[in-house]
This record gives sequence, C-alpha cells and structure tokens, in this order.
Amino acid sequence: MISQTNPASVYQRFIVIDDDKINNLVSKFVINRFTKDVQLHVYTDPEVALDFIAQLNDTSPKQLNTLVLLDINMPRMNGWEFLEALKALNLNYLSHFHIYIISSSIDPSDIKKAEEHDMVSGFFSKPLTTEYLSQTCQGVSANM
Amino acid sequence: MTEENILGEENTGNVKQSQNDDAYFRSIIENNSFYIIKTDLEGNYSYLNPFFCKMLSVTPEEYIGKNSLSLILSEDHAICIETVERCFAQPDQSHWVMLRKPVPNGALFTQWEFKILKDELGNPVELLCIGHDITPLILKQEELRNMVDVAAEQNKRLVNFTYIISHNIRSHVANILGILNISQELADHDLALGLIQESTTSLNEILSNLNEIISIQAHTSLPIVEVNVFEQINRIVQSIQILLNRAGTKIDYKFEENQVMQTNPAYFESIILNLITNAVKYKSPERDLQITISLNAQEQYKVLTFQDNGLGIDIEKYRDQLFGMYKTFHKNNDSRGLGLYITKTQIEAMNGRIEVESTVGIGTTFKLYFNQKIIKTVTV
Repeated sequence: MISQTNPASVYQRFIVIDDDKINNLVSKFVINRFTKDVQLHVYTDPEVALDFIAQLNDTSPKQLNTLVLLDINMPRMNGWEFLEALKALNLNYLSHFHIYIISSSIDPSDIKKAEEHDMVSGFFSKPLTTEYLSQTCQGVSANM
Repeated sequence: MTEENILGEENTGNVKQSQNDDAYFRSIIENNSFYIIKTDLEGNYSYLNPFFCKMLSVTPEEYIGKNSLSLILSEDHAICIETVERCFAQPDQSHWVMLRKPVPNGALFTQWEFKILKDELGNPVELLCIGHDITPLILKQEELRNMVDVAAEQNKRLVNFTYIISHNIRSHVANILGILNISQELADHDLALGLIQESTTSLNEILSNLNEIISIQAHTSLPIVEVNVFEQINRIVQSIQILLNRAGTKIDYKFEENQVMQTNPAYFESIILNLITNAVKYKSPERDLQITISLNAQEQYKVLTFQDNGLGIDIEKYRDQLFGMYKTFHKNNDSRGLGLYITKTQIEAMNGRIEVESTVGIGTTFKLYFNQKIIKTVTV
C-alpha cells in the first residue's frame, strides 16, 4: 500500500458531481485532506458539470489527470445519463479522466452496471474517505 | 361390444343378462361427463354420444359423415392430425391430445384419448375417441398463472422499494458519518451541528414517508362507498381555492353533476388533491392554468380523465420513472418525488390503475381507472 510515496500526486484535478450539498462538502474536505494544491470543482447539477468539461481546453501543453466522483441518483439527469452525454461529446482528453461512481445505492444492478461500464473505473459507497482516494491512484501513472 | 352382438346372442338363458349388459353399456356411453365419438378412417364422424352433442350444441343428424375437424378450432387441427397419425403408427396404444372445441360463447378445452378399433382380422376400421371437458381446470390454471404474475410483480416492486428506501436512508447516514469524519477540519462546529441536524431531519422525514406508504399498502380491507364525483372534487377545489386563484386556474367539469362512483373517499381525496396541486406546481409560466376533468365508464371502471395545459413532460424518456419514488423532473425545490408514487399506490390498492400522456409545452393528461367491482385488496 505504501509503495507510492505520494499517491495524491497522480491527480491534478478533481470533479465532484452530486446533487447532495452535504455530501459535496464532505467530499471537498476529504479531498483537501488527501491532497493540497489541486483543482477542485464541485457541481450539484450534472448538466453544468458537462458544460464545464466540454469547454476544457485540450490544447494545453500538459494534460491534467482528472478524478471524477459521480453520484447516480440525481434528478433530471442521473449518473448514467451523464456518462452517455459525456461519451457523446467525444472529447479526446477523456483518456486522462478516471471516473468513479460514489453512491448510497445497494442495488446490485447499480453496482454491476458500474463494474461493467467501460467509462467507469470503480464504485464507492458514500461517504468518501481518503482510503477510497488512495485506491483510485493505484495503477495510474503520475503524468507530471 | 355393439348392440347387434348383444341382441344376437343365441343362448336365451343369457338374454336377461345381455339386456342388463346392454343397459349397463348404454348408461356408460350416454353418461353425462365423457364425450365418446367415433370416426371412420377418413376422419368423418360415425358416432357422437349424447353428452358430446349437448355440450357442443349439435345433433348426430347434422354431423354423422362430416369431417371431425369441423368441430375443432383451426389452431388445433395440426396437433389432431398428428395424433391420428400416431394412432395408425402404434395402433395398440392409446394416444392423448388436448383440443379446443368451438362453442357459441367461446371455446371448450377438452382432453382426448384416441384409439384405433380393429375388425376380427386385425384391420383398422374406426377411430374411438373418448374425451372430457377440462375448461374449468384451464381457467383455474390461468387464474393461478395470473396470481403468480401479480405476486412476482409485487415482489419486484418490494425489492425495488427496499433499494430506494435503503438508498435514501443510507445517503443521510453517510452524510452524518462524513460530517463526523471531517469535523476536525471543520473549524465551524455550529456548521457541523447544523448539517447533522439537517441530515437527521431528512432521515426522520424519510421514515415518516415510509410509514405513510406502508400504511397504504398494508390495508387489507378498504371501506369502499359510493361518492358523488362532482361534490367530492368541488370540495377539494374549495379547500385550496387561494392556491388555485394564484395560478389563475380555471376548472372545467365535462360530466353530469349527479355522477357517482365506488371508491374509498380518503384515497379519492388524496389522489385528486395531489393531481390538482401537481398541475399548479408544474403550470406553464406562459398561460393561466386550465384543468379539464371528464368521467367515462369503461368495462368495470369509472375513468376520470384529468387534463392540464401545464409544462408537460417528455413521456417517452420518463414513462418508467414518472410514478417512481423520489423521482423529480422539474427544477422545483418543493418537489418531494413522492406524490405520484403515492397516487399510484393508492389507486392500485383499490384495484385500479393510472395512465399518463404528456407533451412538453402542451400539457399532461392523467387517466384514473377506478374499479367498480367488489374490491379485494391484496396485502403487500
């Protein structure tokens, strides 16, 4: 586990998408505890998050490794619909995005869907912890 | 044994016995529960017993010499012919088949045993077919299958219900755990307490919602009475007149004021109130709210049609979710995502159903089917 001296360094950007404001606050603090000096973007509306991702500039010299923490149950656009919409944008810098589902769901069909979804790297049960964040770093090259 | 054999007996000492046998065999073939028919080798009727004639409303005069397929539903012709072929292939055995027979008000389900009859030399001469009515059995079987479907559907709903409830409870518990986890960093302890308070309140609300829903589903015997539809709706409308006036609401009743229906008054009120307040909540900002209510009879239902000219909803996209728990579709903060779920649960508890049609920008139409038959409520 401690093979990586500074596992936090693999991501330069965090995007949290969840309609639950309290959970977002928790995620924000846990991410700050895990790593400092990163871009942190929190969205309660997946459509706004989608606009933000779409306008990211992919011509910047250095691609940012990005961790996306995505909730499933949200009104109007749920996590799965968000992924569909994101896929449809066809952005070439998505290869630097690592998307994890973070949910309170215990519905096996949600967990199975997360495991099988080609855009999703994993499924976490709320609340977010630094242990979860460490796990997301495994196998990701630092890209600095 | 045929009649000629019995009567042709030379031995006079056996005549009385033979007559007894004759009466005995006649009573068997003229019984009131088995069909007995014979056909020649071409499949044309050569004998029909009285019970067969009675049940199919036919006479021997009409059908002797006619093809036996004429009294079998065309869907079953192939299986009948196949069974006859098996009889010829294995003439020493009986062969079983289920056939449907046309009767004036539908079809009879009948189960048959076919067997080849041979002459003294062992050549096939006729086909003997003995059958009986299994229609009540088939109907019972269908009823049973329907009950299994209902049970499976309820089970599915229950599992889904459990997931939703557990998700909603867990999400608030997760928030409380999360806040406790970050409380060291959270310098503002009043904020932390406030957030925990908020989560606890939500948790409490979920539990009371849960109670509300379970109490609807747990009702084993709902009191059903006759209500005057206009009076009931009008009373509800009066009670929220201020809300309706604010939306500039106009309500059109497209049915006679003396119309009545069988329903549970409390559920009826809850359903109507929910639909009206929904219409107000999701009214179009571009026009005053117009609600049109009509009432029709259809099979065993009184159908209340509730039409508004509000925002509407993309029905193709959301049809499956519209009546789901904690589903909200508009950017409204006062949406609980529970109203239509409760409405659906209530009307289904009265053995009715709810349907919806909607067009974005035009409005939404709900159709409520109130069952007018004696209502048995299935406990979930």
